[in-house]
Parts: sequence; structure tokens; C-alpha cells
Amino acid sequence: MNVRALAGLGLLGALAALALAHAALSGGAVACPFGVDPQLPFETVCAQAVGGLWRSAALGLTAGAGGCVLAVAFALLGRRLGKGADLAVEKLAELFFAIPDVLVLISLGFVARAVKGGESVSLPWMMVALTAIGWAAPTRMVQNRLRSLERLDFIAAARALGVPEGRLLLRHLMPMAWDFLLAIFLMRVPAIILTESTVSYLGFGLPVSEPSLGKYLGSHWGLLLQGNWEAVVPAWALLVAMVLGFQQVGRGLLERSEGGRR
Amino acid sequence: MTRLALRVLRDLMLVPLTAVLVYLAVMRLPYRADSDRKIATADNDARARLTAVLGDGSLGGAVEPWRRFFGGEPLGVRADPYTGADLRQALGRSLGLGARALLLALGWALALGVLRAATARRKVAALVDVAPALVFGTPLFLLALLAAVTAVEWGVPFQGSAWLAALVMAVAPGAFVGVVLSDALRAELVRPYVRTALAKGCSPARALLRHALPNALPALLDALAPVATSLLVGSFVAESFFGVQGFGRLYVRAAQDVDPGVVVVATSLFAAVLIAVSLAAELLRLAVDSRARKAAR
Amino acid sequence: MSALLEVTGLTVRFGALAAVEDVTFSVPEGGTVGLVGESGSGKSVTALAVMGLLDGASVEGAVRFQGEALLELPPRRLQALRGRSLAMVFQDPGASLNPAQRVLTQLAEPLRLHLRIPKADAEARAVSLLEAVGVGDAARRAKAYPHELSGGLQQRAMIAMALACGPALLIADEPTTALDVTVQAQVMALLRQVQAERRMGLLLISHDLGLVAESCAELVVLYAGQVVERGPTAEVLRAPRHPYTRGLLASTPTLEGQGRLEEIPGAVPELSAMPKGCRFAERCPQAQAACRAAPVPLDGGVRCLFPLGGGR
Repeated sequence: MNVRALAGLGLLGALAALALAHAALSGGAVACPFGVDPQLPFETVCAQAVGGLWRSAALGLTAGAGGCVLAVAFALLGRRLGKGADLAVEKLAELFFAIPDVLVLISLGFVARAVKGGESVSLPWMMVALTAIGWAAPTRMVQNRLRSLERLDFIAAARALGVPEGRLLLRHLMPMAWDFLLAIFLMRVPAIILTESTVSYLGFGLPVSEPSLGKYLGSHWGLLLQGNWEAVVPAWALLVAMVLGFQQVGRGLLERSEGGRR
Repeated sequence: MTRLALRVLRDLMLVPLTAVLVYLAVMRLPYRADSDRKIATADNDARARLTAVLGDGSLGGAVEPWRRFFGGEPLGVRADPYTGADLRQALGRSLGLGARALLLALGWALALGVLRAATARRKVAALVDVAPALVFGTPLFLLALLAAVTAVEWGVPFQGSAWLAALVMAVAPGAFVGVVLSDALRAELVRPYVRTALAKGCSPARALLRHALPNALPALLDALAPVATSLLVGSFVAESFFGVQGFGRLYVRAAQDVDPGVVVVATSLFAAVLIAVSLAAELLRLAVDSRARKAAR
Repeated sequence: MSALLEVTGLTVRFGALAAVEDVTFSVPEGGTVGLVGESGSGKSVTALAVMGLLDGASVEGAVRFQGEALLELPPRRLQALRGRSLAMVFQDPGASLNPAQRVLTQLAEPLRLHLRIPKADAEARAVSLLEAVGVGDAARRAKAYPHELSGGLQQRAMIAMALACGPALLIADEPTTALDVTVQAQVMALLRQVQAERRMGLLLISHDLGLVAESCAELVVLYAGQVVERGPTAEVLRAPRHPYTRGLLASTPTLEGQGRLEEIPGAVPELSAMPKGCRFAERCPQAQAACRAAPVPLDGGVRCLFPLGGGR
């Protein structure tokens, strides 16, 4: 485990501890040091920030996992169906990857508004949308990884021994890709959180009553211009800390998994 | 050479293809009759209004939004619609903004890249590394917020400021390119030709700038497509935040207000920009990198 | 003949590990000296230390070049010497030339840097330099990028670049190792020719004893970072005194080639596990207890307590 990954892990652990501590203390004697949310006076800033943290983390984790599962499925499907299908998956993923996630999400937001009206979308809808756009980058990475693993001698040896293709994939190739998959999953999470917060800021996200960190910041940033830092900075700090934490763990793992290959 | 021409042709074909697909999809959405401010009005149902402006949704109708775009006619379906002329004007404004942001991004990328490469093995390297990490961990609108708060403190009006918007847009792509560039520079600096340069009497700075940098530039071209993406997203956020009447802001507004005509034109134009940039990056690469040129033959 | 380059007690450490220890030799003005040893013996590190091109290493000892103490020079002064009076040719010309610049630009650079010659004149001189090192059709080839030239032509261009400002000393580090065998002889002939023409000092570094023997008046044999033997080439070849030198000679094929080549048993000790006494003792047929007890000094041109041919 390298320093980068440990630092990220420490940051995430601190965030989890903070959220748990808040859950234990809220409703009790300790008041939120940052006061109440000026826009929703029945909520404290702490509750909003920690609630946003949970929602952002939930979105990032589910959509990240969903995207990675899709990626593995597409990559394996491509291999199973032969060279042409593999190439088609690659080209499609590249094409999708070139389209900015925020652009797709805004278009989806447009569709949601056109079809069912309203100003915001629900948490599950957001999860599905984020999963749907998040498969392209991991698909390319998984494909590349499988191809480079394939060139290793022992795979050729196993194939020469007549190990069937499916077994080769599941028993020989995939086990070597787990740490790599974990790394790209962890790298996807902060990307998704950032995308979601940007889209929420632009007004295509969750409702104001159940905000993610991005939504909260997007609807509260104006307070900063009035000098009301206490209402904004906690959510801001949590967002930056969470994104940095996931990024560093992911990059640390990726470095390790790539270092191990050499 | 013919392979190259085929690729260019294929990529260019993607532009009208996207435009048609987006048009067909948008025209087939079951628009909800939302009486207050969306498509439908009291005297007119949504579908009729839509077809009046954007054609019948058939393949042939796909040219209608573009005719209106280039003709400067009304494109929106709302009471006070955007016209093609509005869109073109906003597009021009955004392109200017993008050019400024690109310039700023390249400047800051070059500075960061060279600084990060030059300090690679010193103790300050960790400090130089923190800057991009913080930038990548912060959503753009928070950077805009910081810029706005600073501007307010300095007494500079931030509403409508194109330079502030460009500055904010440049931060993330600049950091990204800076990291790519410095990684490439670090890889180049340990190559034997740099030692040769030093052995013939070049200063370390000259070896870095005149010898290693040109060899690291192809890596910069590879970063061009992500930069275009980043600038595009940046324009949505920065234009909305700073109230610049550009194309990004217009697009966000149109999506919020469910304005199909603008969405069709804007989405297709964004696709065209992204395709054009990736093509340009590839061609530039062939022009710059003699080794790649050799491989392509 | 006064010494052009005098290296005295040169020690180079990377962290706690000494890659080169107490290396002493000199190159007379217009003289040719060969630095021989296996890979990892410290030949290249020695050369780079002389040039002041070692990054992250601590260098001790003294290097005097034309009367100047190189190790004490401020970086700018050293930079002004490099490429001007002190030039170097590297092992792999393909990698040592800048792939993004035309050969012409790279050749003209030292002329412009050191002699402040305007661009057009410098480029004209660069073409004539290429002609001087035997590159045919020099004007056209000067406009090429390095990867468009063959290995032999690349190395000729490197040599031309090193000669550009008329250096007093040329250090050639394995100048032919990366080249085809047929080209090797041509490049060595070129080096000998320009050395003789210009009365320039030449420090030739190679693992190939035969190659060095052909071109150098004096030999310095390195083993595990130390000089184990040095002296006039003819003498060393005729009567090697260090067991390692003899082993090296016996393992070098000759044209007369009688019988089988001998090999030296064992391997060079690790940098991190250098023995206290003689570094060759583990592989030496003559080694005795005294050899392993304490460091062996270089004495009379040989670092051996029991040199071959008797006496010290």
C-alpha cells in the first residue's frame, strides 16, 4: 500500500467517522456550530451537509459500481462474441467517452422535464442516469487491461494446454484484473460526484429538500457573497475532502497495480 | 494517405448523423402539456406548436431547425423565442470566451508543467503537486465562487465579466494539461539526448526548454480532446455563473425551459465541435511529430 | 608532455554506495588513453563525473583539466567548457540525438552557443563538419531527422557535433557498442583519424580490450569501481600484472586464436557488498589470506599484493 492510497483512505475514514458522529449526536444536546440553514430553517447546516455527503457518496458508489459492472459485462461480451464485436465495443465506448458527461446529463434532464415536468429528478433516476453514462471509460480500460494480460506467456500456455475460452477468462484473466477493477471503480466515484454536483448546480439534479452536496452548494452559494461563510463552507469542505479521498485511494491502487505488472 | 482521408470523411459524417439522430429523438418525445410556461399555451397544444417551428419530425424535417438557425428566424417554442440570430451571436461570444480560456489554460499549463518537471526531485515537488490535486477535487462552480468572492472583495464587478469566466474555465484544463506535460517532460529529461545537450554546453534551462519540451509536445496534443470537453463543460458553468450571454448558458436555459429547437441545434453543434477538435488534434499530431508521420505512411 | 586531464583519487557515491573509488589516471595532451572494464565497473560514471553530468551523486577527489579544477568550478564555467574544449560522444547515437530536431540544428548548436556564430554560418560549418567525418551527400543528410539516418551515420553526426568547437579532449563512451560490426571498424578508424589530425586528447571507454588496445597508447583497467592496473598498452598487453587483466586478455578472442577462450569464474561483487580487501580476491586464482584482510593500494601501476611476473 503506498502513501497516496493511505492518505486517501485516512481522509475517507475521517469523513465516515464525522458522519457517524453527527448521526450519534444529532437530536441530542449538541447544537450544530454552524447554525441553521437560512433557506430551510428547520434543518441545521450540519444536517444538510452530512445528508448531502451521504447522498453524494451513495450516488458516486452505486453509479461507479454500476458503470464498472457494465464495463466488465461489455468487455467480456465483446471477447465472447469475437474480434468484430470486441472492436465494435471499443469504438462505441470511445465515441461515448468523447461526449462530456455533463452534456449528456443536461440532455437527460431536458428529457425528464419534457416528459414528466417538474424541476428536479429523484435519487434513483439520478443513479440510473449516472450509471448509464459512466460505462465508457472503464470499458476501454478493462478492454486494454484484458488485452495486455492476454499477451502474458502463461495465458498462451494455458490456451495451448486446451483450457476452454470461458474458463480462461474467469479463472485466469479476471483474477488478475480485480485490483485494477477496484482502482478504476474508486477513480470513477469522485468523477461521478463531481459530475453530479456540476449538473445539480446547473439545476438538473435532486430536489432542494433532499440535496446532494453539489445541489446544496448550487442553491446556497449566493450566501457567500453576503459574507455568510458558515452555511456554505462545511458542505464545500466535505465535497473537496471526499473527492480528494477517493481520487487518492484510486490513483494509489492504480499505481500499485500497474507497478506490479512491470 | 487514402486511409487518412477515409478517417477524416468518416469523422465528418458523424456530424450530420448526430444532428439527424438528435432531431428525430427530440421530436419523438411525448411532451407533457405543462400549461404555465413550457411548450404548450392555452390556445395551442404542444405538438402543433412544435411542428410549426421545427417541422414534422420526419427525416426531411431535420433541415428545418438549421434553416432557421442560419436564416436567423425564431427557433424557440416559447412566447418570446430565441432566434437563429440570437444563437449565432451567443455562439460567437462563446467561441471568443473559449479562445481566451484556451490561451490562459495553455499559459498556466506551460508554467505548471515546466515548474513541476524542473522541481521533480526536490522537496518542493510535493507542494507543486498539491495544486492540481486540489483543482481536480473541486467542482468548477466552486472555483467560480472563489473568483466571484475575490472579485467582490477587490471591488471588481463579476457579473458579465468574460475575462473572469475565461479564467475560471481555464483552471481545470490548464491543470490537466500541465500534469500531462510535466509527466511527459519528466520522461524526456532522463533520455540520453538531454545528456548530449548538456554535454555540448547547453544550460539546464535550455536543455529543458529547447530539447525536452519539443519532444513532450505530442503528449500535449493528445490532451487536446479532453481539454475541449473540459472547456465546453466549463462554458456551461462559467457562463451561467457570471451571467455571460453565451452559448453554454443559452443551452442550459433551453434545457431548463424545455425548448426543443435550441436543444437540437446546440447538441448537434457541441458534437460537431468535439469531432472537429479530435480531428484537428490528430492532424496536428501528424504535422508536428515526424515519427508519427513516418508511422502513418 | 604535460597532462591535459588529471584525475586524482576520484570517488563517486550514490547515497552510501561508492560506484567509483579512488580512481587516478591522466590523459596527456594529444594522447590516447583507454578505460577498460566490464559493465558496472564504473567507466561511464567516471566519464560523466569528469564532465560534471552526474545527477544526485557526491563526487570527491580532484579533476584537473587544462590546469582548471573541474570539480570546484561554478556550474556556469563548467557549462562553458562542455562542448567547447571538453566534448563527449555517447554509446547509443540513436537515443543520444534529439529526435525532434534536424541533425543540422543539433550540429550547429555548440557553434552558436560557444563561438556565437550566426545561424546561417553555423549551419554551413555544420555541413562541412559532416563532410569531414565522412558523411557523403552531407548537405542533404544534414536536413534529415536522426531516425532517418543509419546507426553509423548517426554516430558520425555525434562525432562531428563533439568536434564542432575543436575540443582539446574527446571522451568517447562505448562509441561503437550499439553499432553493427561492419560499421564499428569505420567509426573507430574515424576516431583515430580525427584524433591524429587534430592532436586532440582522446579518452576511449570500452568493455572491449581489443578495441582499446588498437587505438590507445595507454590503458587503464577498472574493476568494481577501482583502477586495478594501468600503463602503456604494449606493456600491459605483453605482460599483464594484475590477475584480472590477464583474465580479461585470456577471454578476448584474437585472430591468431589458439585454443579455447578462458573465462573468469564468478561475478563482480555487488556495490552494496564490496569486500573489505581486494575486490577481485573471490575470483582470483592466486588470492591469499592477506588479499582479503585489508584494502590493497595501487602501487606501481597495479593494485595487487602478488602481481604476476614477480615483484612490485
